[in-house]
Amino acid sequence: MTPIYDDENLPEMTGRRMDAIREALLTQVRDEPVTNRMRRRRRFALWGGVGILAVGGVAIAGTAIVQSQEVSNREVVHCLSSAERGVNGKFDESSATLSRDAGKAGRVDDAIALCSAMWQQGVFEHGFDPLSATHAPGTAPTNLRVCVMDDGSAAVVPGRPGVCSALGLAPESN
Amino acid sequence: MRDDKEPSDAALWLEATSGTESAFAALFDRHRRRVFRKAYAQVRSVADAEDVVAMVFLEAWRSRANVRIVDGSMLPWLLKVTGYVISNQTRTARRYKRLLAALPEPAQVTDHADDVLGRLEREPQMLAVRNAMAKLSGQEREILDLCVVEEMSVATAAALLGLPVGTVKSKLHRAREKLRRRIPPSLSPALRARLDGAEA
Repeated sequence: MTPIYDDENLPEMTGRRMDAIREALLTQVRDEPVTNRMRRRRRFALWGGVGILAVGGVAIAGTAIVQSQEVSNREVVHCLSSAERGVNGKFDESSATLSRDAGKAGRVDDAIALCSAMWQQGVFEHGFDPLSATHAPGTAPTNLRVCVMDDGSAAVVPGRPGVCSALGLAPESN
Repeated sequence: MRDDKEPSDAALWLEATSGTESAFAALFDRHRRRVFRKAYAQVRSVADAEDVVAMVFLEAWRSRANVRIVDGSMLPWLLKVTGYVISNQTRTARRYKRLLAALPEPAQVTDHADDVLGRLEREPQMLAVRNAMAKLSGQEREILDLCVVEEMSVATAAALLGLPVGTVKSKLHRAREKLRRRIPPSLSPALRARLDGAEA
């Protein structure tokens, strides 16, 4: 394998630069694991930052989406037993309406009072039997919040301020 | 000629890619001269050819997953990359500017008068071959470079380029025909014989 350009008069590499190239290459081989680690760390920090920004953006967007609303449907109140959705994504709840005329729903103006009454009647207690004539009394949670469902009705949820947003519901505007 | 007791390129490359510096150094020492000569034959400057050597070996390290060892040797792959680096020298130099900036400034090399005269005689011929090759397609040029300029076997070039041997043979034949029509008749018989002999 003698190349066409081969010639005994071709010059050679200069010793000083050849040593420098050799050393530079070996430094590259030696340092690459460290460089890669640093690069991975920088990449992680960069994408971590982007991720945090994205999560922050989504949170802000989410907050904007679940802005407080007025209860526009006062014919029904959903009293939620906990501030969590079930495995099917639905709420564990009891709905309450007040009857007015036959077949027509009444107006529920004080949703918290209505749900507190249900809690006190033991509706949310374990083993509650709706057909029984007597019920063991229950205790109403000290913190109940009014959220607004998609249909504009009120949902009363046990929990602190912010619980509506956590459930993806709009808090009631004052 | 390499001593049979010396480790093969394949063995050294395996060690080098596992992080053994001395194995990489051994490969550099084994092939740097040939890479330098190929580079010098084209760039005609010692300092520039040295830069090409640095870039070729750094490219080997950076692209180590793609290095092909043909018949136990890394040289064919290095020579192929040398061709790429020379044809894309500006772009490659930009890519490896940190490495090149770390190298000492080249010393002033004075050419010996006899060397200059000899080179002036040879250069027009090599230049004519190179100009004729420049008009070929990229792959034809690559095959000619490996089989004619570097005198590699068709099988080695085929393995290196990942092409069937028959394809390389036919492309080489066509490229040589084109080259014959384009090189001047004044080309020395020795050089013309080299061009013709590649097909054998």
